[in-house]
Amino acid sequence: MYKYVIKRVLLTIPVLLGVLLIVFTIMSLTPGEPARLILGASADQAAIDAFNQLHGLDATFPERLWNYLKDIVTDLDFGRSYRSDKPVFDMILGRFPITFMLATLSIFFSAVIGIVLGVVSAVKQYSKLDATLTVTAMIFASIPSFWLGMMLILGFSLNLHMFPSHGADSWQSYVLPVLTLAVSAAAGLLRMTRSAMLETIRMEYIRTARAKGASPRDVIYKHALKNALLPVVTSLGISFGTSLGGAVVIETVFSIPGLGMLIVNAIRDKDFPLVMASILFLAALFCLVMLIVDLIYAFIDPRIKSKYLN
Amino acid sequence: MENLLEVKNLQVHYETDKETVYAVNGVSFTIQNGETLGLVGETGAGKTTISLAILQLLSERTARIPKGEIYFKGKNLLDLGEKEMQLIRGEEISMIFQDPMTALNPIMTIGKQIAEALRLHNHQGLSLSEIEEKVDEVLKMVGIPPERKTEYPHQFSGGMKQRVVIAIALACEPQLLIADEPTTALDVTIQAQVLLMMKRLRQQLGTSMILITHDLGVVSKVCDNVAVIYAGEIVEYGTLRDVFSGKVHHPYTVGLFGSIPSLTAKTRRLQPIEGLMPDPTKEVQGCRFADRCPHVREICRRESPSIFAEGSHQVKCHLFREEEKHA
Ligand SMILES: Nc1ncnc2c1ncn2[C@@H]1O[C@H](COP(=O)(O)OP(=O)(O)O)[C@@H](O)[C@H]1O
Ligand SMILES: [Mg+2]
Repeated sequence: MYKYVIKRVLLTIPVLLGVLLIVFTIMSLTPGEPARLILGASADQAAIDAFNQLHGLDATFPERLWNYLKDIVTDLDFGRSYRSDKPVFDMILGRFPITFMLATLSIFFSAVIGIVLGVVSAVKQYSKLDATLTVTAMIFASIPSFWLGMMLILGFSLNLHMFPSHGADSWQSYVLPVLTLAVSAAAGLLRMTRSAMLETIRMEYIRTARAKGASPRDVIYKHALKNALLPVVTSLGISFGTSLGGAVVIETVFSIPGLGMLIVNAIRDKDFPLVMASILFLAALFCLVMLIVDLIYAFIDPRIKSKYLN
Repeated sequence: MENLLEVKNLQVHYETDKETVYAVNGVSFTIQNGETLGLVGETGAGKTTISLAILQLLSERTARIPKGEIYFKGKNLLDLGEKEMQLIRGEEISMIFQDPMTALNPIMTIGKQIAEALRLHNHQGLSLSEIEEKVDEVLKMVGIPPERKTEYPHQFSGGMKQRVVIAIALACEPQLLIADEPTTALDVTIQAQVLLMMKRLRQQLGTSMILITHDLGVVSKVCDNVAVIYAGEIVEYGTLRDVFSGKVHHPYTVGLFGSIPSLTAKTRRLQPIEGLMPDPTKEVQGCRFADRCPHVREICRRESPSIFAEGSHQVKCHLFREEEKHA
């Protein structure tokens, strides 16, 4: 098991390196000079040259890439933000709790709602309830989250004044963004849980359990549910990653000062070190979540566990 | 002596949105204490459907039983509710399914899966440790070391899995065991082992059994009575001797054996018979075997044959009725 974890952690290195190369290249190719964007249109040429020299922006692409990598490898130095001149990781860690809270809350609610309704839907297959849930889930899964966010603001903030439309000052301000993120994730999980459950119920071991004299209820909760949740766990992990990404959009819609907003602003400023570090941070986090998911999977599925142990 | 099981004129249909499948069309047979009945027939003949009907495990949504009675120890199972059936399943009637690879829950230890059956029918109020002892005992009985009870199904070979399935089915010492092609999915060498073990346990526990199989060799070794089933009907029914060496046979049975076999013949697998079973979604007038029968006559397509009986031996065919008349 240890060996497997170490192997997986080492495997994240090439993944992160790949992400780094892609983002670095894209950032270099897109138009716009950081100096102009940060110093303003009225800055004179001398100030701009000084800015470029200070941040090493006058070097060629390979040289800049080399310098960036060298700083990371030798000093674990990811640089300072061009605009605020603070170390990038201080800024990221300052904003991250808000985003983490958004993603965690939305995953929590979507998991509870999606799994419970998915099981209900499967158990009551062919009923009106099942049909209603399936159609509703399909609708919510296909609504773009930024549009849903705006509609919720329109309804609950501007018209009903029930929840704030922006900021992250109180728990009330989390309600609408979490709802926005949770709804589509819950819809996806409902569909996933339902189909996994239906597939499991058809399995022969379910019939074996019934032939032993177990009640239909026991069979569902003791045999079917745990088996059906195996694929759902994986998709929960992926949803967590997706909702971190989704948070970027949602934070913009709801003007929430989280990591998403930080990244969007940094991209606009072409604040190289900040963009690079934020995205690497998210990518590393995603790898970590997927590793945790795989470990959970091995914990609940003995077939996978014995594969790792060998 | 009272019959342990008596199935009377059982019919089972599957009604889907598009069509009705006439899976079982008036089947009757009886089993007495300690007896083994072999149910032989091609895939799709309705063998599994009959077993599931006895246990009342047919799909509630599609399966209908328009006619028939299933008496078990004098009670008609079709009149019982789900709760009462739960008390019978696993305790008085058990079933072994065809494919041991998928018949066990992959994420539950085999010990727990056996213990579940014991816990569900724990009338003696056994404690947890007493149940564990019983699990060990049952495992030993099927030839699995009790230490292996904490292992999961994927750690067992196919033959060993089928032993676990048998252990689950026999844990509560049922009076009737339905074994639905218990060895079809196994290697030939393992088949013999598993079958021998089943035969030994059956004698040891005095269990009656319905053995569903393709293998005529198995039938001749294990069964007391044989029912040959074709398109949801029993076409020939009798003792082992009747069916293997009786004077008259249903043309389908003859086809199955290749030639009329003797009890001393070597193990022989079912011989494929030319043609296909009739479409189970169509109601049939006349004999269901008519299209494939080498002796088909005009009356066969018109009238459903009645049963020709000679002692314990029954054949459902026009051939013999007419011979009787001519004689
Ligand atoms: N759940 C079901 N729904 C519809 N038709 C079914 C179902 N189960 C079995 N059948 C049909 O009923 C007939 C008998 O099937 P089965 O009892 O499985 O036969 P056997 O066990 O002898 O192979 C076949 O034609 C099969 O296609
Ligand atoms: Mg079958």
